[in-house]
Amino acid sequence: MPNLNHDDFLRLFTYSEPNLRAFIRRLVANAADASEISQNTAIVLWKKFDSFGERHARYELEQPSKEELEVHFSKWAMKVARFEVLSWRRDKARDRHVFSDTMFETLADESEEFDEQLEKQRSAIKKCLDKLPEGRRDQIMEAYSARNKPREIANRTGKTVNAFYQWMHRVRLSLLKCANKELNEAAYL
Amino acid sequence: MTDDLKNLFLKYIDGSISAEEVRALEEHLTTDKALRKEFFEHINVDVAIENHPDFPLYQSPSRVSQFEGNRVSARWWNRMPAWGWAAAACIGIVLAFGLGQFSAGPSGVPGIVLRNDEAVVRGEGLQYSLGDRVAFNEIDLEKGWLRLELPKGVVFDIYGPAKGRFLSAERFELDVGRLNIDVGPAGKGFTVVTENGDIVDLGTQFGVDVGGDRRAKVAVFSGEVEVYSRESEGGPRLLEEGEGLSLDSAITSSRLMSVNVADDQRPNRRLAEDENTFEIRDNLTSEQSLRFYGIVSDGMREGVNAYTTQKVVRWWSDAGEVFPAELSGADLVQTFHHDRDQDDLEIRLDVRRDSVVYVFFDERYSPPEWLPDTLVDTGQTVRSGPWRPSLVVRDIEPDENGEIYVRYRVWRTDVAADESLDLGASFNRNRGKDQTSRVMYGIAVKSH
Repeated sequence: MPNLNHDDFLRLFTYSEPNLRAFIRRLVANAADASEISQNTAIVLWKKFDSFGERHARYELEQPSKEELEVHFSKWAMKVARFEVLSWRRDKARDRHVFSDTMFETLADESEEFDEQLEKQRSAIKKCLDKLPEGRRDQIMEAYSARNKPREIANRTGKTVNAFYQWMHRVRLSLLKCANKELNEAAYL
Repeated sequence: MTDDLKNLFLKYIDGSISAEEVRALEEHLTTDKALRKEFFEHINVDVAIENHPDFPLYQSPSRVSQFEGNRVSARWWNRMPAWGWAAAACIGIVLAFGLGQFSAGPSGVPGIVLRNDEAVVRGEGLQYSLGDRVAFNEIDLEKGWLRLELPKGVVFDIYGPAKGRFLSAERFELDVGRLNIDVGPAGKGFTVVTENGDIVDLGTQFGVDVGGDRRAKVAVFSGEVEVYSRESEGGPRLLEEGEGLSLDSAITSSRLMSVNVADDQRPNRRLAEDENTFEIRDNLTSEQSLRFYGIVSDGMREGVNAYTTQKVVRWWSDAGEVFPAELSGADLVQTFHHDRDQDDLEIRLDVRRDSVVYVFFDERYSPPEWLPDTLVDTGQTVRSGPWRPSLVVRDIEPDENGEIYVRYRVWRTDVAADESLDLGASFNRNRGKDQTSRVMYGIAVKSH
């Protein structure tokens, strides 16, 4: 097992980070909360990174390949993230804006189950976004970056909050449709 | 999707949902797995947008903080999504390029040979090498193992002797032999056609074994399949993870009690059922259960799957200990974890040769009466894990890696050739409600 250093951590974390963020985002409603949990998870991963090497001994991989390391790191990171979300939920014990424990368990399990599939879908969505005219893409980016202020956007654009939500829904559906088309085409190539 | 549900999705994702609306959304999601997947997909759009390099980054106070003592700046943190996407895009390009070279022949189903383990194909000039791109029609495998990648990412393992043919890219007719199919996300609907019935995949890993008597044995390793008996009047039978069925004829079917599963570290090491040194059965009827016991020949060691479900849970030595030498190389019986709640469970092992039978029992709980009456505590321990945070492990503290492991005491007894050993429920009837967290016990058999 090679000695893992700070650079290795950066490389492995960079590889895992998009999936990790997506995993947390699926379990936590609020984007800002998810962002904070992602940050905490990153800190825990870094603090415990030394022990990550010992864990590899159990995989019987003395000289793991780059890919093997990345896969194992991602799996480990997801477990740590799940604990961080659980910890966040404990802090929110009195908050009724979160799903029940049973629902959380189900979503967390299925979130792992569908992770690979959802990763492919995100790649396809990015391709769809890249195909959009720049102005249209900027409009979506702006709306999403400020979506926690729907009233402000609605006032600025002269639309109702409901109309803003409907527009967001249409954007999601059209991106999902485009992504599914991309994925189906790739499967048949 | 109704407007109400659509709004609940949107509000949840935007964080503007009320407590009442959370409950309403949960009610919708609880019973509908397909809806939960749709829910994930909607969230996925947001994540993809947030990860896009053009997305204006959200500058919360937490993002401008630094890693404790390591001088990792917020700029580094913020750049990572873009790098991540660049990497993902590169992988996508490589995959697309690889698949782009792959073209279907004028007839047959296009496939890539991913693995060839001493596979001998009947017929001249039909030997396949790793990486060959071939249009497959009939496969007549004398011996060995071939792994193919089919369209839509279906991974198709065929173990000789076996014979069958592709009816289309999504249908394979199996005359005799064994197949393992991993359909992946895009391959849902892949069908194995046998004389007595069809097995239709619903997104899963499953195996089909057709013997000389044409009985088709079906075992589901993850996900679900539908089994259609050829002439049965009833509808299809749904099989879930850890369940197995034998299509005895075009009309009748029965529970598949045990399946010799491939060892994932030695995938070609699998005995035929009649080569096993013991037979395992239980008192549950086909109506009560279609669960099978997975038998891994000589498979007991560190890192092997502990149950037919709970795929991430494996056997390990106790922390800081070596794996008990006397267990290594024993035949492992993967039990069905949900049987931990079956309080009338009776398992019988019929042993063909002098053997030692081991039972691994959750150390947290007092053993049921049958255990000390029949077996002896060796004083040794093993662990299983890592477990997902859930009810069964709620009283266990995660280790330093944040992982949860359950400790088991190892019990053993000698059983003479042609004798039987009866095991009971994991549940201790006299201990009542304090056992909600226990796990199902494990079994291993070592023949002399």
